[in-house]
Amino acid sequence: MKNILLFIYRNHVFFVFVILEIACFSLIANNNTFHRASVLSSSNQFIGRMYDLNNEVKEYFKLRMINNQLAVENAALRSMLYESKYFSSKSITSITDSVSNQHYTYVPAKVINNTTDRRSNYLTIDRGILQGVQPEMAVISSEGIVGIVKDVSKNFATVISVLHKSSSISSKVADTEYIGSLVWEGGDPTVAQLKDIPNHVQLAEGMLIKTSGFSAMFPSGLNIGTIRSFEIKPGDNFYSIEVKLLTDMNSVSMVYVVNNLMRIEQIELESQTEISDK
Amino acid sequence: MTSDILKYTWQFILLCLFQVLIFNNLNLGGFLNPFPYIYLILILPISIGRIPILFIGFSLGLVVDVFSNTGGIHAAATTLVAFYRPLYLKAQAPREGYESMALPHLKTFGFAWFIPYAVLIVVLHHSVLFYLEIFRFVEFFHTLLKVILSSALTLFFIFLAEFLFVSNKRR
Repeated sequence: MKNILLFIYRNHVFFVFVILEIACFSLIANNNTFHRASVLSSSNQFIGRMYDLNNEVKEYFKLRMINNQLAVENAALRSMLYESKYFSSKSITSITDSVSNQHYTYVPAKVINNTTDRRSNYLTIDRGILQGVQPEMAVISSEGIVGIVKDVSKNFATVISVLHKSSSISSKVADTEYIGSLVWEGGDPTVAQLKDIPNHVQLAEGMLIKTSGFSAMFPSGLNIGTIRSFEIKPGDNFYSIEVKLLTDMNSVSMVYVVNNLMRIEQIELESQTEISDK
Repeated sequence: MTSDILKYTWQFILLCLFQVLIFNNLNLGGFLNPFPYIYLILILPISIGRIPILFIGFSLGLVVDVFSNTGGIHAAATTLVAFYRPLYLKAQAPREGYESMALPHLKTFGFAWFIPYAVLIVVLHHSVLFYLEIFRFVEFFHTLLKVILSSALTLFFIFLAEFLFVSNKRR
């Protein structure tokens, strides 16, 4: 004990110096958050690492819960987006003209679901009965045709895509007035097939295919696509034509539902004719 | 003795004021931060006790720290210098020892003695100061350049003070 006191007394200058320096460094550490962080991180590195390890293990078991939380949050945020809002106003464009009667009206709609990879593809749009959408109305995009309305609910409608096995759309080769029907044989969603064009018609690649207007759904003269290739199979009286669709069915988002105001009249008349024919 | 205490207290206050009000506000391109307040440690009497000089150094640095908002880096540097100075003076002592009332001035001991003394103290102080300020070795050479340039400027001010304010008469 005596020796220790003697040692301290002999080196008392050094001890005072050390104490003063310790005071300085504690002042530094207290003053500056950067210094504080550095000092703390080096002195508590071991404890910090233990905490990290512990946390990592715990977190792994919490992943399912965290995933659910994030999914719920995502859904909440997504529902706040502009795209999630449903605008219920009847935004129907119609033109009143005293000379020519309105034949078609258009309901703008948004595609909210779409497939192109199946043999029979459907779209869902965000307009329904309340906005004047009825079954068997045509759906077009600004580039070309999209499909035909199948079922409607209050605010939604399903659409039979052009890319459907039973889809058959009356169409014509522009400038020739020859009528055929456009079908889809599956596969490439950008290409459809045009049937029933007789083999004496002069065709060229790039010729425009339009709607004929014979179907009581589509107005006449709407663009469908262009001829990509054509051939006459041996012994066949008709062309096999590949049509490149103008509407990109993969990315179509804004569409119009076509309301033919005289459709019922036309259908009734046609069915009368068919009945009287029998 | 009392007059000496008054004299050094006055110098203490004066140097702190000069440092805080003038030299801390010098903006010379980032590399030149002179700290001439360390002059006080240089000119304290050789006969001063090791404990008093430690406390003078500590309080000098602390005052500058408080006014520069730097925590304790000046105090740490000045305390180290105050600890080191007596060791240096002891090692450099002439064979017959220092005169009892000798003051470590340029005109008392001459260039050959004063220049290494001042350079060593100033560079030691500035090194501790700047490396504590940075607190990492990533910018080692950048800081070294800062130490060298600032020390040179501080030494310039110290020599200026030695020529201007120290009378030729020996005490």
